Amino acid sequence: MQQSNCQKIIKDRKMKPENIMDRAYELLEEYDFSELSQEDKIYILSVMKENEYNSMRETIVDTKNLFTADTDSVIFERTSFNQKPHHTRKNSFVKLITYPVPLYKIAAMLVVLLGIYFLSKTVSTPATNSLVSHLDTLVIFKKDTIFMTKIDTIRLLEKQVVYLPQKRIEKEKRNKSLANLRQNNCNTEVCPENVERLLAMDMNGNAIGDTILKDFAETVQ
Amino acid sequence: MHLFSDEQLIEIYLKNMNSQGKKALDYLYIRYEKAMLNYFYFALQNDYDKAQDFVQDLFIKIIDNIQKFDTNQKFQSWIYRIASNMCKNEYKSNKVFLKYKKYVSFTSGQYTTNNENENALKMCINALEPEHRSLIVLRFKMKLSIKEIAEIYDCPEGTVKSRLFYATKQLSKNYKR
Repeated sequence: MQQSNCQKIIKDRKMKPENIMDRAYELLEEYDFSELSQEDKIYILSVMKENEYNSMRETIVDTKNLFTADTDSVIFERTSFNQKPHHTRKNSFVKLITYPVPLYKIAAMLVVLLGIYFLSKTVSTPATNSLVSHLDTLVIFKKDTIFMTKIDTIRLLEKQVVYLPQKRIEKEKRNKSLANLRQNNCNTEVCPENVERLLAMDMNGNAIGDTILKDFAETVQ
Repeated sequence: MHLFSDEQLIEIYLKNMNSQGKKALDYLYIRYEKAMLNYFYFALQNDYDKAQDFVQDLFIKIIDNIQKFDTNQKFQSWIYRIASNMCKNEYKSNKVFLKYKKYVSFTSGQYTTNNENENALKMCINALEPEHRSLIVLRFKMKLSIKEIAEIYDCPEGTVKSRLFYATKQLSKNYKR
C-alpha cells in the first residue's frame, strides 16, 4: 500500500532517478526523519529505509559539527595573521620596535654586553685577589722606582757633598805634578847649577860634542 | 562585503600591470589564501605541508593563466576548479587514499568518546573517493552553496546534489559500520 503511494508521488512529480536523489539529499540536509511531513516520509521510504536515513542524517550533522569545531583551523588563522602587514603600513619606528627578534639572539647579545662590561671593569681596577694583576703591579712599581728617581737623586747628592772648589783642585794638581817631577842626579846628569859653567866652557874641541853641549845649554837657558 | 569584487580586482590587474595591479593580486591572494589552504588541507587528507605547497602552486598557476580568465565568470568557481583539478591529479599519481581505506576497514566502529568519533569521521572522510571527499569539503567545510559547487564543477545543481547524496551514503556506511 505504502509502496504504491510512493510510486504515485514519484509519477506525479515526473521525477527521473537522479532527481529522486536530489530531493532525498535536500531532505537529508534539512530534517530529521521525525520532522518530515507524511508525504516526504513516504517518498523517503521509497528510496531507503528509515534507519538508513537516520544514519545518513547523523553523518551529515556530525560532519558539519566536525568542520565547524575543527581545531586545525587555528593553524590557518595563524597564517592569515602573518598577512596583516600587507593591509596597514607602519612607520619605520614602529617596524623597528615590533621587529621580531629570536630569543636566542637577545640572549647572545646580553652575554656579549655583560662580557664586555666585566672585562672593562677588571682592566680599570686592579684586583688584589688576582695573582696575575698583583704580579704585574709589583713589577711596574719596582722598575719605576729604581730606574727613575732614587739612583739619580743619590748621585746628585754625592756630587754636592763631594764638590771641591776649582782653585784648590788646581793647587793640588800642581803640587802633585811637582812632586812627580824627576830629580836629576847632579853627579851624573846636567843640573841648572851647571849651566853657567857650561856656557863659559871653551867650545873648541870635538865638534860633535861641542855642538851638542851648546844646544843643551841654550835649551836650559 | 568587499570594496572590490574578485573579478574587478582581476580587471584592475589586467589593465595596469604596474604596482597598483600587483596590489590587486595581493588582495586576491589574501582573500583566498586561507580558504584554499583549508580546502587543500582537507582534500589532501590533512597534510598541512602539502596543502601549503599546493596553495603556492595554485597561485602561480593563476598568475600564469590570468589572461585566460573570463571576467564574466566567477573567480571563486575558477579558483576552486583549478584547485579541485590539482587534487585529482595528485590522487591519480599517488593514490594515497588507499592506506586510509585499509585503516578504516580495520578501525572504524570501535570509538566511544567524542574525540574518537571525530577522529573516526576524519578517517572516513579521508577514505572517500577523491571526488566525493572534495564535494564534502566544499559543502561542509568551505560552506559553499549547491549553486556555487555546480559552477565549480560546471554541471547542473541536481547532479551536485545526487553526488553529495552518494558521497554521504558512502561516508555513512564507513562511519557507522
